[in-house]
Amino acid sequence: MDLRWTVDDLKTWTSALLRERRIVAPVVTPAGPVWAPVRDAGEVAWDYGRTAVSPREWLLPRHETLFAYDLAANPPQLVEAPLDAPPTVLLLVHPCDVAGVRALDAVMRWDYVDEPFEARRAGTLLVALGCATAPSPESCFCAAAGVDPAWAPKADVMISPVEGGYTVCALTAAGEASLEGAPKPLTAAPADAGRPAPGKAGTLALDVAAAAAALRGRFDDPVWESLSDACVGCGTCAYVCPSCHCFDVVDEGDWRRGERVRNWDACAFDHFTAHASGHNPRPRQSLRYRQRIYHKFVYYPEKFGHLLCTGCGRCVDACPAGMDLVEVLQVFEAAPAGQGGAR
Amino acid sequence: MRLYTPHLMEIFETRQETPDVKTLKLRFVEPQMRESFSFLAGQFGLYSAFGEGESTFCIASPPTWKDHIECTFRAVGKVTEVLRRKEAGDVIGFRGPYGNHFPLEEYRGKDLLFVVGGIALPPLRCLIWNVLDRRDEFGAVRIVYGARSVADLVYKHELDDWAARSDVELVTTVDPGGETPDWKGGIGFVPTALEQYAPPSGNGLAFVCGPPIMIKFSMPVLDKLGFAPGQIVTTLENRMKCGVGKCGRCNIGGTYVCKEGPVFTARELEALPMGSDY
Ligand SMILES: Cc1cc2nc3c(=O)[nH]c(=O)nc-3n(C[C@H](O)[C@H](O)[C@H](O)COP(=O)(O)OP(=O)(O)OC[C@H]3O[C@@H](n4cnc5c(N)ncnc54)[C@H](O)[C@@H]3O)c2cc1C
Ligand code: SF4
Ligand code: SF4
Ligand code: FES
Repeated sequence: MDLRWTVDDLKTWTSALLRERRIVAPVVTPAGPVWAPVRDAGEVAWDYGRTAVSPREWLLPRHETLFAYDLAANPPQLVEAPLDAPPTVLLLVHPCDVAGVRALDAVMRWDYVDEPFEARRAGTLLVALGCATAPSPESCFCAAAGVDPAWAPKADVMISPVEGGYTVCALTAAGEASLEGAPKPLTAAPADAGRPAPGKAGTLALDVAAAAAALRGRFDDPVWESLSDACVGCGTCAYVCPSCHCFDVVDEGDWRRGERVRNWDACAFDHFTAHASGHNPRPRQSLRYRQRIYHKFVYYPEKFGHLLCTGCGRCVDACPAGMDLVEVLQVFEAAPAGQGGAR
Repeated sequence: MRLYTPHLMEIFETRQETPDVKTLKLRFVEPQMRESFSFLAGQFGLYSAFGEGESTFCIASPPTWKDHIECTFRAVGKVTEVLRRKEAGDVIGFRGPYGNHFPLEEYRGKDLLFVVGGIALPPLRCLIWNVLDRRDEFGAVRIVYGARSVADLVYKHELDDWAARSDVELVTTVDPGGETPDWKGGIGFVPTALEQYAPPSGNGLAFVCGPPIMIKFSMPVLDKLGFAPGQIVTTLENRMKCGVGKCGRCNIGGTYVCKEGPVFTARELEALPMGSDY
């Protein structure tokens, strides 16, 4: 029997899902594909390449209210924002962005559970779409970063483009339940050994693991000054990234009534670590850029066992100053430790 | 209640320690929090001045004082400026306790030396009172405390208490020019006072908190007195927002001060990239 699904089959399944859940999927806009809720399966961009901004905001929004306070009330009141978690399907997430979700999971569940994140995460079904070819051949380097462009092990459902259609398999019980009554049969999820050979994405010559290993020992290397020369500290690289998770917590309101909110933040900003005294342990852009690289390729992997970069290449394409993460990693790959200072 | 939601606390007493340093004595508004709240010396919390945000302070009172907690802070910015204007009866927010703590059980039977400058006394005052409230379990308690001027000494009444006790050795000092006509303590910088006092190290511990310059010049003195890096303990103050390892702000190298700190031994700090900027 032909196990291949057509786009029409995917639409039929999506329409069925839409009856019970919100679906957030890539939709085409004049500014390129973006993640947005769809009301109709016809709105979904089935072959969308890559969105400029990752889907992470659907799990960790740019701006969210934590609670409202009213100190004028008697007694004073704190009212927590409802955990805004309608059952949601994140549809057609490429493997790099599924890996981004895994990266967020590790942080948001590290000892303390971040409830707003967790509520959204628990209510979200991740439907992945494998990449047949690199959406951005110049900048995608997922395979080099250890992410298989053809396979997303942390997804609930895996859709794989094949010759003449798609195969669909369920990777979790939730994924399987979502496919009940699907228009076409499922493909059995292959055991690790039986899986197709890891796909290659992009045309870049880069070994991220080697570059990451080479970073240890280059912390005090003067090369950081020249490497980060162009960076203007705009934070764009963090905002487009699927795995960046830094945030700021601020109050909006006055001493009587208002809200405590959290907003995305970025280590590229000069005030990020500044103390009230004026002292700043990262007073120069080169040190802030170095923090970004070390966080993604050294500190986070030491704690959680995988990179905090999924090789999606968005930051390479988005940086207004032409900073190129791939080139930076290549510098270290080419000239490993032993030069420069400790760490 | 969720991670980022503070508990309301009522201020029932305040004390102006110096012109810009204030202590708040706080009690939980919720009765069950008064019962159930517990923490360990060295831990910190995030204190809310609603409308301005949160600030990170250590809990400056010891866990042995069951009915309330205290914080002591210097007004340096937006949140602390608002907190400074709070008085008894006002309500603020608190969440915590967070971070690691002083491993008190490991200190039992040992001599404890505290080397402190200026506003850095609060985190160690928590430990000092914890030790004094369980006095029999520890060896000598020696305190070297200095500030820029007499006016800048915090917890003045407690310094008098400690000075009067036979089971505490207290050395106080103020920077040259910071003395008053009736000042009875020493005159000179903390590292110098420490050198003259020259307490024995033995198998004891030295707790060092103060401005970076004081720490820098105290370290060689402690080394000369025989304190090994594993016997020297300090607490760090990095900028924090979440306090729980998520906002990505407080790290020094791969170490998150909010989770793996704020208490570190000098030996642990040697492994961090702190000499340079980080
Ligand atoms: C674990 C820990 C314990 C501390 N204990 C004390 C204490 O007991 N007493 C005391 O006076 N101070 C203490 N501090 C420093 C205190 O947190 C800051 O002085 C205070 O947050 C400044 O806040 P502000 O809003 O008034 O300043 P603003 O300039 O308005 O600061 C805005 C934000 O910056 C952050 N920030 C600014 N300066 C610092 C700093 N030096 N350290 C950390 N975060 C900063 C805060 O998150 C604050 O919300 C401690 C810091 C840490 C990390
Ligand atoms: S690397 Fe580029 S995108 Fe990132 S902060 Fe610097 S200038 Fe902005
Ligand atoms: S650092 Fe750049 S390439 Fe890596 S995951 Fe983030 S946006 Fe993608
Ligand atoms: S304060 Fe947020 S990570 Fe440490």
